[in-house]
Amino acid sequence: MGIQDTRFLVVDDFSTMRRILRNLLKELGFANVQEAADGVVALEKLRAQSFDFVVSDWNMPNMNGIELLQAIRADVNLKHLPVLMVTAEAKRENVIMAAKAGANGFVVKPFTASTLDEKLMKIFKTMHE
Amino acid sequence: MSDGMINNSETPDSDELEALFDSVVAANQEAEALAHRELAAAAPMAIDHPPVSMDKDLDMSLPTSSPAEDVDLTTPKAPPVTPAEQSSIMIDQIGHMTRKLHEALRELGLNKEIEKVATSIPDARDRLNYVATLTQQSAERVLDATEAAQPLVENMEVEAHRLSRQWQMMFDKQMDVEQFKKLASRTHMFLQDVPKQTKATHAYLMEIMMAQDFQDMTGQVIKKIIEITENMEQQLLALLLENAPDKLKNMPNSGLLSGPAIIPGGNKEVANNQQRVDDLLESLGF
Repeated sequence: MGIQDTRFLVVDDFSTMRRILRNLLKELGFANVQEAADGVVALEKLRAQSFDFVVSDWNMPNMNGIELLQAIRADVNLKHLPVLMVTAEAKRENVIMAAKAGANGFVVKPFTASTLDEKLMKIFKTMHE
Repeated sequence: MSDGMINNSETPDSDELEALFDSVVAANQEAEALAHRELAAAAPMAIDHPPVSMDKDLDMSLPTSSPAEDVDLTTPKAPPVTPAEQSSIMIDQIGHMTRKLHEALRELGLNKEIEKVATSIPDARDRLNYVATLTQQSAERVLDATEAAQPLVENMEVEAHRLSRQWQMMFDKQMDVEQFKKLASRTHMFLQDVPKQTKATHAYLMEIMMAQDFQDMTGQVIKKIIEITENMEQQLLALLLENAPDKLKNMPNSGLLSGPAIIPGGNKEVANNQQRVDDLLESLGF
């Protein structure tokens, strides 16, 4: 499977941010993108269909990004999935918590297209090592 | 929440954050070998709440002395458009209400609750300022990008029209060989140039799209402010209800609470409160 066929799940409670992420991913050559509005919906989708990559916000209703990340890491079928946190929670304790919970990357909002590209490529690189 | 965005002084820059992230990941991977499962299970739950300082003295924010002071407190809030007469009546009423509230506060020991609400107001103000700043920045980014993209598109349009007219002359056989050679070369140049111009335009479109990221962050802040406002409303309602005559407290509204009628698209509780407050204010002569 080529890197451009990566199946993305974008998780954010704000539809504008999901659209921005979808457009940015398209701009970076990733056309296969689905969306979920919170961790609960995301987890349902992840268990029902196949995905290769999760890009998730932190602060969401019902189930937040860290809880989603923990649920993914605790699920035998999902725990291998790379998870990139894209969030406005930019305090040290947030970064430490995300890293400890098993996030593969951390992008601070607001971010640029090149920052997203850089973090994605870094994760792809470690995945294929 | 987006407190990190507001308290910028507390936010390390992104390189620092990245180094921190990497170091934790590295440490994590080592630890993983030993106790992978325990670590994942022990990771604490998320969401922190904004620090709302509770240590301010109540007397600082809520004057308790003379009614005149209370009136002063509320005067600047009166809308400037209100005719003088009306506003003086209103100020008088607000003054009365404030006095009642203060008396009730002391009697009921609700000072602590009100103190919380009062300290959350500067926080809400800072958050609203943040929203104003972000939306303004975004609007400027969009306008800048639009103004930069417009001439690119216009130039392409003008040149395409000119070339098209000349080609029409050629088809009408109004062109000699020299003119045709020029036209061919000019058309070639134009075709080479168009992808550069569209690429630049595309970049401006991306810029316009990225400028919309404010909505996510301002949305979070606005949600927070709605929480604060609802909290204020609740505290004030509680006060009014406590302060109401007994006759009124036992009035019909409890029936509404258990009733099946739900206002379409509205919050039953809020509507109910609204009715109770309206009744209350009426009974108090407001």
